[in-house]
Amino acid sequence: MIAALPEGLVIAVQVAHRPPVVRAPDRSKDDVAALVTSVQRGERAAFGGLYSRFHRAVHAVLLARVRAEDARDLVQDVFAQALEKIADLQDPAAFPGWILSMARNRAVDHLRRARPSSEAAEPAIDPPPRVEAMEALRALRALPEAYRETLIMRLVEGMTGPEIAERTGLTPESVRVNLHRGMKLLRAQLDPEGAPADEEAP
Amino acid sequence: MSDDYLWDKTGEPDPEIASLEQALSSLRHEGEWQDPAAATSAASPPASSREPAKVVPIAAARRPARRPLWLAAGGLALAASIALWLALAGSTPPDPPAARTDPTASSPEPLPASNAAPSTAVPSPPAPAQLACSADADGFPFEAAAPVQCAGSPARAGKLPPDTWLETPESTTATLRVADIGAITLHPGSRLRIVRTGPTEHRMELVRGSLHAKVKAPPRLFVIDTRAAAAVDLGCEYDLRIDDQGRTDLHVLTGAVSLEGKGRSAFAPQRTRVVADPERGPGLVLADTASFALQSAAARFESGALGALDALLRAATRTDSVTLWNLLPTGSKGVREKVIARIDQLALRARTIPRDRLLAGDPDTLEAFRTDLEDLWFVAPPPNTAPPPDEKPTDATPTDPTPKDRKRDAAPTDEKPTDRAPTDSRRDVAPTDSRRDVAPTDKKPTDGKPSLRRRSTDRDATW
Repeated sequence: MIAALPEGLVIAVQVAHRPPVVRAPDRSKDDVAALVTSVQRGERAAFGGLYSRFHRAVHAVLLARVRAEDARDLVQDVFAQALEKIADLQDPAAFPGWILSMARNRAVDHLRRARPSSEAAEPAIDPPPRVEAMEALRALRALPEAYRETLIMRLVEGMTGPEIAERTGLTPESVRVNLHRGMKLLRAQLDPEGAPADEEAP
Repeated sequence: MSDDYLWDKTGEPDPEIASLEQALSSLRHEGEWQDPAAATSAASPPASSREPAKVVPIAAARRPARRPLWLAAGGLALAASIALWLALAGSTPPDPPAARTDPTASSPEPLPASNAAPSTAVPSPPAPAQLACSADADGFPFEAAAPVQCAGSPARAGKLPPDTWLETPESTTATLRVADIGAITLHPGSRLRIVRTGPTEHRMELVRGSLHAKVKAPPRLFVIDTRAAAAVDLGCEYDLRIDDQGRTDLHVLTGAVSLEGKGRSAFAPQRTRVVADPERGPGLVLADTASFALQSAAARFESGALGALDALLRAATRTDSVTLWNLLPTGSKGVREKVIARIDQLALRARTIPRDRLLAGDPDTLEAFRTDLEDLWFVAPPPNTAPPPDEKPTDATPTDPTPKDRKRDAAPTDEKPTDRAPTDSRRDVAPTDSRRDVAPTDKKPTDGKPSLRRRSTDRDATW
């Protein structure tokens, strides 16, 4: 039966029955690059795959800088901009860093256009999140940028360390350090009395 | 700290991280890619079908006007090119407006115990009313003065089986008997169904309108789901209403209800009200007698204005202990610290409730504290009702406010919150902890009613 099947399908069946691979670090990167290439070739629907992989990371980058209400809106803007410019992306594997950079720039543009008073005021979140969520978010935003983005990806978006590494282009080691140190600082921010003496908030 | 859990969510969860995750999850981004070209090409249909909630982030759906201008400007050209592209590629167009996003859509699937939103429901095939809602059907009996819709067909009486919708027109009320535990009055313009019924749970879903429920059953046997929360009956009578914005407004008349959803829960005893938002779940529980100042501060606090907490606490009196208690399980440590300070000012905490454990959010201590406070919530006369001059409250304690004080507490006041604090503290601070020494917490109700304290716990069913 198998012999009668086209060669490509036989290979696919064989691949599907392989024992699980313990570690395939570059698979996701390859997938992303393949998706980017597909979009660049005109397969517009493939962009949905990129969105599903990166929307949380993009949102985290935005949430680290702008109001929660605005961050939600800006996610769509960032991806729309990425779709418009993706043909210019020379290295498909560079997509993670490229789109997160785009998100950072979009956040900066947004803050520049926003009225200064609106940023200083209490954030008018719609819908209003839980009060403790706002407290935690304020503390997260007070962290240095590297910790801030990584921790928001972990604590808000629910991404794991390996996922953060894949979506940001950072090495797993860097992500681990950012999470660990950032968490210590965050604890100090949220509970100054309970934090160890040597861990002051920045 | 568990590095493994922080790194990849394996290993033993760090409680603080897990708590942060839970709190912050309300800010998590949800949604799927919506091709701007596809969205623009669908610009002509009605608004309800233009942006199906299934694929559009909620905030974006609420503010379509905030979409970038360039999208609108280039919309028509993109629409034409994408339509051509779709035709050539043989792709299917975007899904039609999803009935599953309609909060009034029916669902054949039982909702999970954690309260699922109707947005995940799919339409169920209409069932013939004669078969589905006949008197021989296996379900809850209902009747109405004028025809109501059962399974899509008119009926004045019959039985409502599970997974079948009962709808009242704008001019008719229907009554529904819930097994042998109570009854529901379904008000005009409402839509209700039984999700499941059995010896351990009778679960219903209200997607539109309002109802009055009167139930005499063990705690948690009767539950009503809405889009915003699940009203878990703890033995009580209450009104439940869904407003135009999908919020669930619960007003408890007797007994207690636990309103649960979006990872939060609010304990609402009799003569209190709580509103649950579809996005953030239950809000603060407010006594019927809550002053305008307290209501106003609570609204601002819930909308994210953390600075309103101080005003809220200043406005809270002893009769608002239910509001203060409900701030403890959900608030952060900083919030709890301020709330406990106010609680102590009002002499609400007994010496048997350790401050440090309360501050740490220890569930057992919170439960014990709630049990103590239930003496005030259930046994005391209605806070807003001043007894006759010659009648003293039966559970009066040395620090209980006098009837005059009660009346003053309950009345809306024009005085500034900052002016209230000294007054309240002068009256209430008194021998804070000695109060409980004088009035033991295990005293029995003097009104002959069964212990509502027992009724309000999950462990003990007294009915």
